Amino acid sequence: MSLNVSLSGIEWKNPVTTASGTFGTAKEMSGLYDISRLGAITVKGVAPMAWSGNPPPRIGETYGGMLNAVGLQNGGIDSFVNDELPDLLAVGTNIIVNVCGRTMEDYVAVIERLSTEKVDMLELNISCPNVSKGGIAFGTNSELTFELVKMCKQAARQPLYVKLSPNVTDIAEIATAAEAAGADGITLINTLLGMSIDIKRKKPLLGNVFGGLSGPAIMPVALRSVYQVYKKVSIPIIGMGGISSAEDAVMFLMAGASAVAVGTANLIKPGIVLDIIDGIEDYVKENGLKSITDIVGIAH
Amino acid sequence: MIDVEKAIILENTELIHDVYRMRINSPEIAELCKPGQFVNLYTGDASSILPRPISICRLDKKLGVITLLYRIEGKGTRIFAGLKADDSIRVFGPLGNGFKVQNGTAVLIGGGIGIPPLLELAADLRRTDPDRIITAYLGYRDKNIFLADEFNELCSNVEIATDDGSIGFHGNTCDLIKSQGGISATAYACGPIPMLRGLSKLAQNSKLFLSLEERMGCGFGACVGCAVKTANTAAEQGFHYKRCCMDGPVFIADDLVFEDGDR
Ligand SMILES: Cc1cc2nc3c(=O)[nH]c(=O)nc-3n(C[C@H](O)[C@H](O)[C@H](O)COP(=O)(O)OP(=O)(O)OC[C@H]3O[C@@H](n4cnc5c(N)ncnc54)[C@H](O)[C@@H]3O)c2cc1C
Ligand SMILES: Cc1cc2nc3c(=O)[nH]c(=O)nc-3n(C[C@H](O)[C@H](O)[C@H](O)COP(=O)(O)O)c2cc1C
Ligand code: FES
Repeated sequence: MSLNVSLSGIEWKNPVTTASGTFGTAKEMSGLYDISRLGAITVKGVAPMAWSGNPPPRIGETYGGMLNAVGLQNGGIDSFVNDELPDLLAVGTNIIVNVCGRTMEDYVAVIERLSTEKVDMLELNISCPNVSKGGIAFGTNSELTFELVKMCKQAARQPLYVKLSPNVTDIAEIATAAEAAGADGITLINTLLGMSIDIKRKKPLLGNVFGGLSGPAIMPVALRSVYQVYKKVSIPIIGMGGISSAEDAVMFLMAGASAVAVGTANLIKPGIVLDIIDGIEDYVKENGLKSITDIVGIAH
Repeated sequence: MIDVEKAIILENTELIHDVYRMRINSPEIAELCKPGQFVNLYTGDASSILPRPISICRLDKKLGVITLLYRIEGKGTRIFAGLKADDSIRVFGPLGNGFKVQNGTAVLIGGGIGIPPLLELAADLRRTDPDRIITAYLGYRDKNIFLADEFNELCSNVEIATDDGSIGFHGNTCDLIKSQGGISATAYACGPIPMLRGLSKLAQNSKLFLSLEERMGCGFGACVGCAVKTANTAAEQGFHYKRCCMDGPVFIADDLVFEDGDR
C-alpha cells in the first residue's frame, strides 16, 4: 500500500500539495500543523521585484466559495530566496515555487535566479486573473503560451509545470501548446474571474472590481478541466479547485490528476490537508489498492 | 493559535437591538489571549465559509471563558445570533498582535462596535497599575449604549458621546475630545475608519494605537487578503500593504496611510 507518486522524476510521499497563495510562510504555518507531512508545498507567486498587490478590500464571499483580488503581492525573488526559502527547505518536503511576471523576461529572471537553489519544481503562473499585465494574458492565448513556456523551459533547471486558467474557450488547447513547448506538467485550475457588489456602498465590493472565484463552488468546473486536459496531454497533471475532502481529491485523481492541490480549504481550516492525506490513505486501504497511482485517470 | 471545533456557548444574549454578548467556554484559547487580539468564529454553513473575526471583549482565564460582543451585520453574524446557550461553535484563536500596554496614563477611545476590545484592555491597564489614570471616551449612535458600567468600574473617568445627543456629549468622540483639549497621553482606539482618521490628526503629539478591521480570507497570515496600507519609504510607491490579521489588527497611527472616502 503506497501513497507515493512520482512527478517528472520528483518523488512525493503522497499526492497532496498546497495551492499557490494559500499556504503563507513555513515559519508561520509550522506552528499550526505538521507541514512536513505534505507531499509538497507550493508557495505564492514570486516575481523578479516586489509587487505591492491590489488595494483592499481583496476578499469577498460567495455561496460555497470566495473571491480574492490579492494581485500577487510578493516581496520579489531576492527577498523570497533570502527570507523564506531557508525555512521552506528545512521542512523536509518538496518545494514548488509559483513564478509570476508581467513580461516574458520577468518569468525568465525568476527561473534563472532559482536555477541554483534547491527548489524541487517550478510552477509557471500564466493564469492569475488579478493583474493587469502578464499573468492571464499569456494563459489565454496558445501562441503566447507556447512562446513563453519555450523560453522558460530553456532557463529552467527544475521540472517546469504550467498553471492554466479556466477563463478560456478551450483549456485543452492551451495545455497542448504548453506540452508542445516542453512543459513537464500542467497544474489546473486557477481561479474563475468573478465579482461582487456591496449593496450598502452601491459599488463593486473588491478594490480591484474583479476577483478570482475559488472554493467548493468551482469544483465541477475544475474536475471537468482536468478530465478534458488528461485526454489531450501525456504529461502529469496536478489538479485543484474546490478540494476540501479526501473524496474530492480522489475524484481529481480519477479524472486524471497525478497529484492534487488544496487551496481555499486551507484558509478555512489549517491542517485540513492532513485530514485529506489520511482520508486518501484510508481509501487506498479500504479498496485494496497497491498504489494510489492505480486510480489516476481511471474514470476515463 | 488553537482550533476548537466545538466550543460550548454559555450565553448569547441581545444587549441592545442587534448587539449580542456571547460567552464561550474555551480554556485552551482563553489561556493564550491578550487584549486587542481576536478569534475567528465560523458558521459551518456553505453560505458563509469564511471566518468572522471578532475581538476579545473580556477574558476570564480562571474559568476559561471568553466574552465577545458582536453586532449583526450580515449572513454570518445573523447565524450567530440564532445560537443558544449549550449550542457549540467553532472558534480559532487567539489571532493578531493585540495591544502593547504602555506605562502611565491611558486614554481609550471607542466608537460603536469598536468599543468591546477596549474593555479587556482597560482591565489589563488596571491590573498592571492600580493607580493609573484611565480615561475612556465612548461613542454611540443614540441612547442604546452598552458596556458603560463595565468601563466605569475599571476607568478613572468615562465620557460618553452620542450622535443624536440623547446621552452625554452631542457629536462624535473626536469632537468630544477636542472640546476637552485634545489627547495628551498614550491612546488606544478602535472604531469606524473616519473616527480613526480623525484621531490620528488629533493625536499628533502622543502615541496612538489603532485597532483596524479588514475583510479576511483566513485570519492567520496565509492569504494576504487583509491588506492595510502602511507608509514605507523604501517601497517603490512609498507604501506597503501589511496584513491586518498578523501584523495587526493593532497598528501605530503614524505608520498608517489613510485614504479619503467612505471606507
Ligand atoms: C480584527 C477584527 C475584529 C473585529 N471585532 C469585532 C467585534 O468585536 N464585534 C463585532 O461585532 N464585529 C467585529 N469585527 C467585524 C466583524 O468581523 C464583521 O462585522 C463580520 O465579519 C460580519 O460578518 P457577517 O457575516 O455578519 O457579514 P457579511 O456581510 O455577510 O460578511 C461577508 C464577508 O465579509 C466580511 N466582513 C463584513 N464586514 C466586515 C468587517 N467590518 N470587518 C471584517 N470583515 C467583514 C465577513 O467576515 C465575511 O467574510 C471585527 C473585524 C476584525 C477584522
Ligand atoms: C487568496 C488566494 C491567493 C492565490 N494566489 C495565487 C498565486 O499567487 N498564484 C497562483 O498561481 N494561484 C493563486 N491562487 C489560486 C489557487 O492556487 C488555486 O488555483 C485556486 O484557488 C483554486 O483552488 P481552491 O478552490 O482549492 O482554492 C490563489 C488563490 C487564493 C484563494
Ligand atoms: S486574512 Fe489571510 S492573511 Fe490576513
